[in-house]
Amino acid sequence: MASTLKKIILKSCDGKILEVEEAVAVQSQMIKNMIEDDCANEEIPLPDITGEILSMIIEYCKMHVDGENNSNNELIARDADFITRVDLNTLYYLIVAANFLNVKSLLDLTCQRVADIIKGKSPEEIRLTFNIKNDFTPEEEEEIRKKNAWAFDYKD
Amino acid sequence: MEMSIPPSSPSTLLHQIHEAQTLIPGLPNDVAALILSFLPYSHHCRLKPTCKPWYIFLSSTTLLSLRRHNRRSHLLCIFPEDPHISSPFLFDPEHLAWCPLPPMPCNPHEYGLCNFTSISLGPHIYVLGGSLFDTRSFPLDRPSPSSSVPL
Repeated sequence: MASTLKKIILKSCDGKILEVEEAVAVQSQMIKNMIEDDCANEEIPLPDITGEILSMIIEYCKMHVDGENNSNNELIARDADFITRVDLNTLYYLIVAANFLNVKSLLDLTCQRVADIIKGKSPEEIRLTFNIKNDFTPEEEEEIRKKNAWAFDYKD
Repeated sequence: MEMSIPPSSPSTLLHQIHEAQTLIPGLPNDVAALILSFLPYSHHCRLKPTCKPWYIFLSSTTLLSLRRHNRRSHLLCIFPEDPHISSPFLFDPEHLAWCPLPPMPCNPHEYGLCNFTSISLGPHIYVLGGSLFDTRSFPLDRPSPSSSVPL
């Protein structure tokens, strides 16, 4: 039965070949479009996506196809488990790849994860973590800091 | 009244940043912009001092349209009193954060605001003033809070 399912062949930039079931591959809107345009019969080369990252993305897509009948909460828990295992550097590669392959739910998940990392940090910590240069003069920075009028009932 | 994060006309600001400065080193600016649009609105002011590109982007209308597109959270605009007596507040119900808005830009002696109503359109809140001759607006200089605030 499984052998009759159509397979899509993906090739990473470092030459790794991955065979993926069509149902999993079409989680990528880009690949879905290629299949609809009948351009996915031979292997699809993916520039800038390494085999390691591609495997992770396929793992994620599989999880979502297999989990289609699961409850929403279960999927959210699996997403959380998937994303918290990833370090920031890998997260960057995943974001760029999810953006290229147009896997909307993975792009949202990865971007939300980075936003959550940012949210819990002070501007100083953010600059350190994300290698951002402070291009304000101390006076300018002080001026902008003063404008923060939001009061939080408690920190989240 | 519920004030959603409004849409806006496309801005060239992001493209100016795109050419000049990077939002997050190591990521394309369109993706970095998407990430910053996932930040809760009530955290923006605190994060603006990070660097100039963030300051510009978090103040831009591009951000508003991205947030609109991605159905980010809503803000409430709450009027505790007649708005020419005290300023309204923005409230972020998801993160339990408050922010006072600047006083209304009008002369309280010319505009009676009791029975007022408010609507949001684009990035603006409009307050439509009520009648100066409403009994609740006497004495003229200190009208009592309106009871018709649609909260």
